[in-house]
Amino acid sequence: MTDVDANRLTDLVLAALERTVLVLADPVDEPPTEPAAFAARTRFEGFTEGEVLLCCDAGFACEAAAGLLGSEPDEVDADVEGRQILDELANIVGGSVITALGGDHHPYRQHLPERIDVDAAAPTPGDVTTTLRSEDGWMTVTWRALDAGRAAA
Amino acid sequence: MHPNILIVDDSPILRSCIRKVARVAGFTDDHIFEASNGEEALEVLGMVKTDLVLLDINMPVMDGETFAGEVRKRPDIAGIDIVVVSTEANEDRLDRLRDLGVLEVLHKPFEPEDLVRIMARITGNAKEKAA
Repeated sequence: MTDVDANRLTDLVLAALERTVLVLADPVDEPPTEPAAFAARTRFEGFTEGEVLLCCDAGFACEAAAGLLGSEPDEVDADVEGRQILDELANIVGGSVITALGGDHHPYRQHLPERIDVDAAAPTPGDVTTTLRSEDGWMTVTWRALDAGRAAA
Repeated sequence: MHPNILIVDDSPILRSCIRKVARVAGFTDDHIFEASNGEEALEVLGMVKTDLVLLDINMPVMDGETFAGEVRKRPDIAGIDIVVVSTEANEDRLDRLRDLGVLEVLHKPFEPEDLVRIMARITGNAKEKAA
């Protein structure tokens, strides 16, 4: 199993954003000032158990949804398409992290994405995390290894 | 006769996206059908003569691998072309799907142009078969 550090995680997320939702973003060090609007996670199990958590503001969600649908951000309903795109990004980024961890013959099983409270997506010590800023907002992505007890919670 | 296409994905926004790509590939809305899991997709296949299924793998109720297995068991629909569009990258699982006759695997994140190319090629073959 290989490791996924913050730089690798950033690369995986940037690739997913550029290819799937046509959003260009840059990693930033400072915490975002706009309030978080949505969060989602996908869990997986295999060599290790883990989860990938995504959290973003409404501006980013609308920009990403619009990019996927080929429309303008102000034509997108943040609570509908904006919410849905974060679920799908959790699915896609989770899949990318799993492949990076385990390669093409990995034994991981990925769970379906779940919507979670934004507070539950906050990084904790030991997590690998990256924050990206796009034209209209921000998104934080965290990958967290779970022990068996936490995974079952 | 214009071929029919079935999009099977539990993500509504992904289905919308693929529908838009299908329009670019020349499909009109009355030839594009949707299902949110394998079970719904089997119901659609029972009602609509379908030429191509674009199939996600990780879905609730019935996943894509189970769906593909069910399709191959049913003589009336066993010959339908299936293309997987999924985050799934486990080659062992993808090999099982290829053994079930899946023609191509398109990994998410994908370039819309790649999907257009696949749809055009496969449905072009369907048109030739129907002619």
